[in-house]
Amino acid sequence: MARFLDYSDGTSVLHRLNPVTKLGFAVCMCVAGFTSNNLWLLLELIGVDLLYGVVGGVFVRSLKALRALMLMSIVLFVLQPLFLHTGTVVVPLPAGMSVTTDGLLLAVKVVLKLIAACLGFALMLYVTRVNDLSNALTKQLGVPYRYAFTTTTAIRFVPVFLNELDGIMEAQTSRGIDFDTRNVFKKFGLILPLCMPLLLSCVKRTDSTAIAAELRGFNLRTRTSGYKRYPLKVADAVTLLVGIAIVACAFAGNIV
Amino acid sequence: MLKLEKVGFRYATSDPSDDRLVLDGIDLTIPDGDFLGIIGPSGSGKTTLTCALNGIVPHYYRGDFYGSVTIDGHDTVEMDLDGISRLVGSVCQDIDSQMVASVVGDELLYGLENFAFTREEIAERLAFALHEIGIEDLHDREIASLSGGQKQKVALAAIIALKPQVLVLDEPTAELDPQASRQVFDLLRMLNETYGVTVVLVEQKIMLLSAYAKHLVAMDDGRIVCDGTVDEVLAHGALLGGLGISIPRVAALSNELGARGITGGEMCKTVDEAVGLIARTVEEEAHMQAGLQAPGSRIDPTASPAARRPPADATPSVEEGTVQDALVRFEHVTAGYGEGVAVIDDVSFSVRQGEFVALCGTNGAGKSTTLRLFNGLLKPTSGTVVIDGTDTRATRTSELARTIGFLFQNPDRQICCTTVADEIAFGLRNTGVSPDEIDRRVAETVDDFGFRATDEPFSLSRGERQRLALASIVTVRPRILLLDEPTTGLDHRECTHVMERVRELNENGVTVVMVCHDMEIVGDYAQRVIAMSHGRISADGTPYDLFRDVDALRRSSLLAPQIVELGQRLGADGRRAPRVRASLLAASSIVEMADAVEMAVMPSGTGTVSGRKVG
Repeated sequence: MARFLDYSDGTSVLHRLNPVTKLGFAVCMCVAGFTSNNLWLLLELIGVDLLYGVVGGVFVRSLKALRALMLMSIVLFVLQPLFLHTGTVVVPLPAGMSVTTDGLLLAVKVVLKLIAACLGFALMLYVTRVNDLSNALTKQLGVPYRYAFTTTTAIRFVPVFLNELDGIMEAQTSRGIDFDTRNVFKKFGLILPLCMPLLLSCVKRTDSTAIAAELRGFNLRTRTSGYKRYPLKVADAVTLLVGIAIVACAFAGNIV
Repeated sequence: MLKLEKVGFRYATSDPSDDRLVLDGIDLTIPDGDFLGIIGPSGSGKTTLTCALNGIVPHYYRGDFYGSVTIDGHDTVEMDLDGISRLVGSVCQDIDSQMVASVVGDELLYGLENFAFTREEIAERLAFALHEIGIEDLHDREIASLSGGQKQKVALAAIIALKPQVLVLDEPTAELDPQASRQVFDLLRMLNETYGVTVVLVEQKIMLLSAYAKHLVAMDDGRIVCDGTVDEVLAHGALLGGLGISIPRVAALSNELGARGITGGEMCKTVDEAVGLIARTVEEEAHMQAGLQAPGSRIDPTASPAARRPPADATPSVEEGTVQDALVRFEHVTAGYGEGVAVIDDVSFSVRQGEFVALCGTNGAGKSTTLRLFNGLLKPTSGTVVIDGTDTRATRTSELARTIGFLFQNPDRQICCTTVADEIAFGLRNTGVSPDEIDRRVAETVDDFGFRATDEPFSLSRGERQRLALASIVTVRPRILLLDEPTTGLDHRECTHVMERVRELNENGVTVVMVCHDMEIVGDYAQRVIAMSHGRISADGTPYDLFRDVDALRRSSLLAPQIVELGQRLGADGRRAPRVRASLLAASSIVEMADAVEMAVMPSGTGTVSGRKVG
């Protein structure tokens, strides 16, 4: 079962795009998301992300990623109105505080910006193998392999460490720790003591991977070493142009 | 040729009191084409020795390095790690950490790309490695979707693609079932014999190692205590036993038969060899005794192992108890992880209070999933699991923890406190025990398990951490204890410590359910075996019955313990006297088998074997 940030196998046009193109497009979506202040444009950006999911054959996972981002945004949504008190009061709160229309609008925008900016990266990873990404970054953009490998390994380790955290939580639940509670805040508090076993496991695993890489000539890698080739095709040019157009629209939307 | 001369190593540490040499005066020559097994208890320096061979010591792990390691005359200190890696390929213990890519093809390409082979050469080496290891069909697979055995093959293929002269492996089969372990060893033998690759590996599965290796080195406390051919090393059974190293049971039997004067002391490493040796000895003795008919019998038939053993049906079977007696009931349970994928398919059984049950089967048979159903970590998609009258679907796992203790394969997922005493108290605090009672139980458990209360858990050895994890469960006083591969990664001594403690708990009324690949441990400790295959129960009975049921073993892809298999093969010979056959077929331990062989060698009971006094 595919986990958060795992690659989904496929042969769609997005799977076949150059990894650098896909990264470039995700960056464009991120820039557009953070730049735009237009509520409708932000919604359209999320729509483009979902369309990307449909084309890449990962629509269901796109929706799941969207839901996860929405859940993560709850805190932002709750906190934001507390700091902006202009506009019409919607819900009066004690201690002279209140939730206002401006506060709510800002909260919605911040959440949508976050979602629009991040969803593109998650979707890129659903249709791009991280090894291809690091190889293409090195070959095409000349990024030193050391940095490309480190970045992509970090991405690759996210689901690995999530699995490890799951395993630790299962072990602790079996000891009577209340991880199967429905109270999210209580659960969060319970996770903190697990930092130690998780950290130790992560350090151990990272160290082993570093050794395994070094024992297979990690330090010898150069820009020309890669076996696979990542040529740029017409579809890549079109995708990048669409990305640039989206960024332009975001800027234009703020001006208009 | 690899040559180690007076090699010593001390890890760089910030603790000035820790000045222990992890390797101490190692002298060892490994000729080209050797297949060398390194054995020894935990902490004896085995892994560090492999690190000295592949250059990790001193190029990656820093410290004080003494002596010299040379590969074909080149000193590893003067070479860089990349240069050493061209000659020595390495496979580490944690196979998931070894992987640097997410897809099999990319994993194989990794080293080839780094060492800058030409495109043509890369394509040729890639095809070679995939073909030789037999994983062409896995080329495009995600590594995360592979079984443990498949991952190990991928790791091997990635190294073989680099065509190293030497292959260094650190416990490559630690997490594999017997079938997959054997496949890995078969591949290593093929590489060794066909391509002349020198193989050096650390392994706890000494039975397997003895069947494949040409030489063995036994280590203790950073030193080599014994080395030579496999036969030569295994002949030192007492010395190895003293160090906490087990030897294959047929090897121990050979030593026992030699000590009794029944054989000339020839060493057997496999069941085949033991069958051959004993058959030859019996035949020779028959020739010697032809015409000699001594009166009476020195061996009292009533004292034979078969007679001493209670009849098979004396061990209570699950059918004997009524369903009402059952502490645990699985009723038509189907369960899985993804949507529509059933790992457990319509499984029904019950476990009574005080039973010691082993769940056996190959990787992926559904054993661990079944174990997770016991304490509600996994809920059935259909059917019911009832624990002491409570449906697991209606109860949270954290509540079931008061009744059920779960010892995981990896103790480090369980340990989260900074002292041993805190760790033991941690579980108690979560189950509502009063502070005074917690203090009392912690003191009692620390004393009982022989720990020091103030020790840091993560500074303990793997075996001690496993015992600490067990202690922190036991102190909660569960009625049921679940064990998931409790002996993985432990040496023989640690394994015995853990399992003896589990046996004591069982004798005091705790119901034990254990997932275990090691049939010797199952035979030694379990009262009942539930064998699983493809998510269903393929056999259910006493170890005694299961190990003698060839069809059931085949159905469940299990192998009987060596002594039992030997007894079955020797006892199948219809020419032997009925009581000899009965003894051979019934023997489960080394002593019982030696007694049975003694009876087979001298059925007339003359008291001497080939002129030697039987003692």
